[in-house]
Parts: sequence; C-alpha cells; structure tokens
Amino acid sequence: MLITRRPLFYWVLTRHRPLQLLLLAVILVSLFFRVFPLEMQKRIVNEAIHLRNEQLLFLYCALYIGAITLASLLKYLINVMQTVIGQKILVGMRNELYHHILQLPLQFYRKMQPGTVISAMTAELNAIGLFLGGALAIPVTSILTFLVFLGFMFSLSPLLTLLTVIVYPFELVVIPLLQRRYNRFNKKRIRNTRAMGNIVNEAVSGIHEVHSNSSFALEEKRMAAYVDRLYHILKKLFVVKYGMKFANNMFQSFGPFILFLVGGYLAIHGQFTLGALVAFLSAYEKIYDPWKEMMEYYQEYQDASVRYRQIMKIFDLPPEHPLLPEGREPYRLRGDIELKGTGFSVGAVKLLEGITTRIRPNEQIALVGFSGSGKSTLALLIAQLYNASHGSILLDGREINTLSKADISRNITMISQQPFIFTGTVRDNLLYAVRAGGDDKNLPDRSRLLSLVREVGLEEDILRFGLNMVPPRERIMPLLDKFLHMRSIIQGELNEQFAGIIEFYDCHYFLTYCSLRDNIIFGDSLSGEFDTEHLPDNKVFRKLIDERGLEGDLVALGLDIARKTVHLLKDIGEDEFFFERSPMQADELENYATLLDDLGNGSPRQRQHRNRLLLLALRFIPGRHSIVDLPEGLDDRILSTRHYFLEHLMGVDIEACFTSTSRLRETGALASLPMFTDQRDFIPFCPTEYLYRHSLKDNIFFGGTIRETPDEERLYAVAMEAFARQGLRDEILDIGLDFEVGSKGDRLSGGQRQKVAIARALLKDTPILIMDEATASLDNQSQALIQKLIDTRYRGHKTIIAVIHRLDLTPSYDRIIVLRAGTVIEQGSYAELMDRKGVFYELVHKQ
Amino acid sequence: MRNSWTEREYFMNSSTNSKHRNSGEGSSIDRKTAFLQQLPFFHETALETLRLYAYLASMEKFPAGEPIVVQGEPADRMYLLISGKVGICADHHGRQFHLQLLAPDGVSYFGELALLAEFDWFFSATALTDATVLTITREAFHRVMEKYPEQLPKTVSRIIKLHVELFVDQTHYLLDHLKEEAWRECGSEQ
Repeated sequence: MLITRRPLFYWVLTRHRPLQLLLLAVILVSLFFRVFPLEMQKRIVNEAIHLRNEQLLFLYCALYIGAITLASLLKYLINVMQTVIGQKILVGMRNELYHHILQLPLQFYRKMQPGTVISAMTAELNAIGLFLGGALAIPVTSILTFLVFLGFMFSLSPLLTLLTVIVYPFELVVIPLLQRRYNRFNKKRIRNTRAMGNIVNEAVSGIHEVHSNSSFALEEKRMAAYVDRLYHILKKLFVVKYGMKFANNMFQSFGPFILFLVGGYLAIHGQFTLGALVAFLSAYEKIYDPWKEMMEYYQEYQDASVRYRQIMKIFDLPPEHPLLPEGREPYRLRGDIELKGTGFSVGAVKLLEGITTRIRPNEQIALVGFSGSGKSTLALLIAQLYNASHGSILLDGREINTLSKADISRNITMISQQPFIFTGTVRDNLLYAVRAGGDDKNLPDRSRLLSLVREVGLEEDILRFGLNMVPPRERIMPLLDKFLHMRSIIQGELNEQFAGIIEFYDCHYFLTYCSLRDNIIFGDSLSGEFDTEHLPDNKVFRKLIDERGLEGDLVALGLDIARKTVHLLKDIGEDEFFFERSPMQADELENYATLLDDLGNGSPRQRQHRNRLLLLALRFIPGRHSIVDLPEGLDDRILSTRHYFLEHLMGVDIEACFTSTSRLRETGALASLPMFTDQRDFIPFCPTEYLYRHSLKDNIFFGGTIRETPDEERLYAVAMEAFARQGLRDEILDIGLDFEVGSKGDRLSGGQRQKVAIARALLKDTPILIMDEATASLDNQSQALIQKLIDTRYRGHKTIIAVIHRLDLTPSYDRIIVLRAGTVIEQGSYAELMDRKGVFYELVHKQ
Repeated sequence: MRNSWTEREYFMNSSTNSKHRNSGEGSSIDRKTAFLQQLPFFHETALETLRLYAYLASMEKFPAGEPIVVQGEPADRMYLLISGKVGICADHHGRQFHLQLLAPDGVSYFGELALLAEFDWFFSATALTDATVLTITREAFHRVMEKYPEQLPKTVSRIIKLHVELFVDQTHYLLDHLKEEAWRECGSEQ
C-alpha cells in the first residue's frame, strides 16, 4: 500500500508489537495496584477504625502506601515506555515518508514549496509521535480501569452507581460536537503555519533580492499578516479546547453532589456504611482519571489524525517509476534512443509535438532553437525526468516508462544549466553522482579524479584552493617530505626567479619584508601564545624585551608610527587602501587619535598606552610600511634578540638552523626532517620546519612577500611546472579537493560550479550524456575546452545530446536538430544545414 | 625576467655595508616629498597632498640594462626618474627604434598618462645606467583624487601638459638624430 494511503493506526498496529504488548502487560499490572488502595480505604474505615484495631490499621495503611508507591512507579515506567514506542514508530514513519518524498516526480516539486515539505517532515510529524506511543495502550487501559472501578462501585451499591454515572452519556454527545469545531481550527492552524514556513523560506532563499530592493518592510508585512492570523486561530482553538475541559469538569461536579445527597441520605438511614461511602467516594474520584484520559485520548487522536491526514495528503502521489527493477539487474544500455511522435503538454499548452527521430549509439547531437522551443523539455523527457504526454521514447528498443530509476541512472547522466552544488568539499561534490550509484567500494581513484579536474579546466582553481588552505596536521604529516622538497625547489632550482618576489626566511639576517614580531620571535606557536596581539601581555616576551632594552625603542617606534599615520590620514578617514602602508588598521584610527590627544606632547607612561603602541611596532614591516623608517641600529639589536630568544628561551638548535639555511641557499638541498615524537608548541622559521598554522603556500614559499606583481602568476606557473616534474603537484591538488564549497557552493564562482558539475557527470561515465546548456556560464576559453573534450575524448564512446545556445560550437556535432515552437524544423550536419540556407543558416548569421 | 632592486636591497646593502641609508635627511616620506617638490609637475600641489603621494609612492632601483617597462604589458603607473639615465624604445615591424633619452636634469618622467587611463605600454623603457625611480600607481592616484575631487580638473590638465612636453622633447630628439635626407618638410606629402 502506498505510504500516503495508510491510516494512522496502521503504524500503531504493525510496528513494535512485542514492545506494545509489554506495555499493555505493565498497564494491567499497575491497574491492580490502583484498585487495591480503594479496598484498603474501605477496610481501614470499616474494620480498623471501627473495631479500634491498631494492628489492622497499621497493616492496611502499610499495604495502602505500598500499593500506591508501586502504582506510581509503574505509571512512570508506562510514560517512558509510551514515549519510546512513539518515537520508535516515528523513526520508521519519517524514514519511509522521506524515501517516498524523494522519488516524487519533478512536476510535484515545481509546484511545491520547500517550506511545506520541511515543515511536514519535521515539526508536524513530531506532534504525531507523542500520540502514537500510547495509541493502543491508553484506550485499552482506560476502558479497563473504568470498568474495574465501575464494577467495584457496583459491588458497593448498584443504585448509587447508576445515579452517579448518568452524567457520562451527556458528555458523549456534547464533547464530540465541540471536538469537530476544534478540528476545523486545527486544520486552519496547520495551513497557516505551513504558509508562514513558505514565506520565511522564500525570503531567505531570495535574501539578496530583499536586500537589493530594500524590501524589508514588504516582507515583514507579509509575515505579520500570517502571524496575526495564526494568533487569532490559536486563540479560537484554545477557547474551544478549554471549553471542552470546562464542560467536562462541570459534568463531573454533579457526581459528588448526587453522591453526597443520596449516599448521605442512605447512610443516615443506616442503609449504607460510612466506610462504603468513603470507598465509594474514592472510587468515584478515581473513575474520573480513566475518563479524563479517554477524553484526552479522543482529542489527541483527532488532533493527530488531522495532522496525519494533512501531511499525507500533500504527498499523495504515486512515484512515477520504481526505484529498482523487479527481478533483474539494471540494464546496461548501448545508447540507442528513438523518439516516435513524442509530445509533451502542460494542460492545453503543447510544449513539444510530434518529435520523431532516431539517435544511434555514440552519436553526438546538438539541440538548437529559439527560446521556448522546447529544447530543454526534450532533454528532460529523454532523461525520464518528465513523462511524455503523447508518443513514445525508446531506449535500446525499450519503452522509457518501463525502465526503473536505477536503469536510467546507470545509463544516463544529465548536466543542467544551474547545477546544484551540495555543502561539503569539492571532492564530495565530484563523487556525489558516483556514490549515488550505491557503489562506495568502487570509487574512482585519485589519479582519475585529478585527470578529470584537469580535463574540465578546474586545475588552476583547485591548485589555488590547495595552496591557500591550512590543512590539519594529520593531513600534512605523511607528506611532510614532499612539501619540504617543494620548498627546496623554490629556494634552489628556482632561486633566481623567486628571489625578487619572496624574501626567504633566513635566520642570519634581519628580514625587511617581515614584521618586527616575525623578526624577533622568528617562529610560530601552535597554541597561539606568541601571536602578535597577545605579545604585549606575554610574560616571556615582556621579560625578553625588557632585559634586552628593546621595550623603550619599540614603544618609541610605535609612537612615531601613530603620530605620522594619524597626522597624514586623519582627514582621509577609514579608507583601507590608505592604510596598506601603515601597521595601523583603518578602524583603529580614531582610537589612536584619542590616545595621542591624551598624551599630548608627553611620552606614554601608562602600561595600557605603551602596549598599544608596542603593538604598532610589532606589526611594522619595514619594506612595506613606508610611513616611517626603521630607526638606525634597531635591526641589528632585533637580530641579536632573536638569536638569544631562540637559543636560550626556546631551546632551538640555532646552529642547525644556520647550517641548514646556508646549505639550502648554496646547494638547494634540504636535510630531511628529524622526527619529533613529542609535539613541540614552538616552531621556528628554519628550513626543516613545517608551520602547521600557516597555509600550504606560506610553507612552500617560506618567506615574506616582497611585492605583488603581475609576474607572480607566471612565476607560480613556473613553480607548479617544476613541482609537476617531481610528481608533487598532485599533492597540492589533492589537498585542494578538500576545499569546503559552502552552502549551495557559494564559495565557488559560477564557472567553477559548472565545471564541478561537468566533472561530476563525466566521472559517472554513463553511455548517454545529456547537457542542457551546461557550459553557459563559462568563459569562451573554457567552453571551447569542454567542447574539445567532448569532440575528442568522448567521440565514439558516448551518445551525447547537447542543448546549445552558441551556434559556433556546433560544427563538431554529428547532427544538429533545430526546434521551433515544439517541433523539429530542420536537421542535419552543420555543413548540410549551412548549404540549405534555411532557419539554421539565419540563426548562425544573427549570432 | 625582472630583477630590480627594491627598498630591500637598498636596506640590505646598507646594513651589511655602510650606513648611507639614514644620512640625517629625515624619514623616507620626507625624502620622497622633497624630491617631489622639486618637480615642476608638483609645483602647485599642496604640501599635504604631496606627502600623501610620497607615502603612496614606491622607490625602485634598476641596475644598468634592466628593462623598466616592456611594450605590450599593461600600464598601471607613472615613473619619475630620481637618478640615472633611461632610454625609450619602440618596436616597429619587428625592429627596435630608440626614441628618446630621459635624464633627471631634462624630461625626467614617463607613463604620466597611465594615471588617467588603462592601456598597454606602447614603448619600452630600459635603464641605461643604474637608475632610481619613484612610481605612483593609477589606483593610488584615483584614490587621492577621490578624496580631493576639487583638484582633479587642474591635475588632469597638468598631466596633459606634461605629456605634451614629453612628446615635444621626443620629437625634437628624433629629428635631431635623423639624417637630413630622411626629413620630409611639410608641403611635400607623398
């Protein structure tokens, strides 16, 4: 049975039966312990108190409390079990519903708002879960309890019982009436909540439109209308709900009233014992509980029923094609496609009509035509994403709608114009289609992935991603030698080219293109304790600069920087461009201006002021920050402080550092890394070290940037070529594949997204490939690259159907089919169609 | 392949050799400002603006024989010659023709038009002797003009006048060096 046709109770009756039976058993046991105290009550009054028997009193009281305690514990257990069962059933319901939803045809999703689906799958199902747990147990228990207590009461006095129970039939009439009203409001509430969800979803999806049109007020008004309506619906809903409770309570109060009246009268006239009266009263009160539970159950059942119906109704569409073929393996097609009078209409509108053509295996077809001519629709029909309204489509001689989704996905890959990129890494996205085939063990290996990346023109981008990433330590460690090798290539073989744009870290020298902080500390701390911003408060550092007499000079330098920057740029304002040559940041201008005002002409004495000026000095890069010059002699003193710091405070083997640096500079050779089993926190800028908190690029080029020039691009290409010769470039690419693309791939450019989609499709390697303007957002060069790929690599290996806009890309196709207003008006090779001088010819000349 | 010295080599040399860096002339902004003030181009510019340009300008050194700009590459900055001699050449039908000689005492700048528009260098400039130049990028120029928009019309007209001067100097130089037979007087157009 289709999941959406199942009644609510189907889930209750067919899932987790043993557990439900257990629950039932526990309830029955607890029932006994709920009736037992009643009997005790009667005996306490009639026997113990009446007969003045203390022993019996104690006995019966003990039994009383014992039974009550047990009953409470069991009730606790029952509640827990109920919830567990309910949630377990819910798990099954959710998964199966999702399974169904995903397969619903595309037309469904065209009309359906994502907000509705989300709301249905999450919040609305939650509400049903609570009901499901007790769906069977509660009514059974309540009815049994009710009957038992009723029986007990009857055994005491049939007359009284009949009198007190007379109320209930009234309730059986009134309450359902109120309940129907409640249901109506409930349905409205659900509809309203869904609409709200949709509005939020729309606004968030199109947030850039909202911002660019400043339509905040408009959106808020839309939402406010629904919020308001929800408020009113809820108000009415709860008025009815509590109305029902009120009605119930009122009816209940009559009971004791009658009881006291009649029972008291009987007791006065000796026809009824006091004990029995007390017990009867108790029983009467107790009978209310199961009744109330039945009432609540009834309400909850209605509520859950309505919600359940509402959820299932929207998804009540049969999936068009089975997921898996029955009784056979999915076909492996050759790629023969035949269309016989194929047509597609939406209502009265004919999007395609009378398409008849035959595409042989490995033929490459271009679909061209005017906008709205039905090219994309045709592509979607062949991919079984839409179903033809007339005529038929045959794949390898088989009717397409007899094929399961598995048959199609094994044989056809479609690349759409706006591909969807999932949150995750580039690698995840590339492997998505292959993984979907369910074959997690036969994933393409790295070299296949990388060669495909190369073929679609993504290599440059992935390289750049890789270079800019800061891979985690575990990723780097196995490849450490390789990265150090790359470093030695740059400083050795390519030294001449790079010496002009990078100042390599060299322990012997003061580095003009590194900050003073880098010059002093000359290393990186994994814990961040030697980060520039933390240095003024770092005890070790403080001690160092005080002892070496640097503190005063650095503060003076900072003061000079602050004065000159503020003076020069105070009228310019916080324009970041102008702050590139000063260690001060644009948004700090005001603060420093205030600081200088406070100081006046005096020198800074407060620790806080000195620290802030110290920061400026530490950030200062002599080669870049032209705002001031490095004071005379400071470079030498910084250098000696560095050596002192490294050797005596950090315990670095400075001789080894000197030696390896000189050796690298002179011979281009790098000693292999000594393996440290314990993780040190401090890593100096020595050639044999890897800086785990820095990007791959920083680690390979290992120095300060002298300048950013257009030459840089060319030099990187040179470097990459050198790496490729050593088989090292692939390592960078591999790391680049771990780049996180962001939600919907928003950290990638449009062209990059499209290339990922194309690579993803090609990795899947199916006999038929359909491309719906798949290269539309690429630049001309990339489009040509992909076209050439199709023309050469895949010629004779795939049947290709490409919907194309740019007609200059069509000559290499075997056949061009020209569509207009849903019909084929011309077909033939490029040469034939040009000779014919028909519609295609016109189109080409217009472009 | 470019191999110009930059401020780094300047500093490096001075720290390992003699200390001719800070010879008491004040900070490098002051030095650059002083240099700019001497140029006729900047005669009417306010001191504050001048200091801003000095701050944004870069000083570069080119050893003898090094190309400074190469014909065909995108032009993005103006060059002011502080010291040394620079030769201007153009490629015509595959041959390099020498067009002009620049020296600090004469016309001592080129690329002034790059401040106003985007184009590719239509000539090459090479350091004939060791040369030091001061460069101002188009971007820096535009940013400063954004802050002082009232100065733009005057500045543009000054740049154009500079270009005229440069062009006139170039024409005279060429004519001086051409053989008389090659001259074509006006009125004898063929």
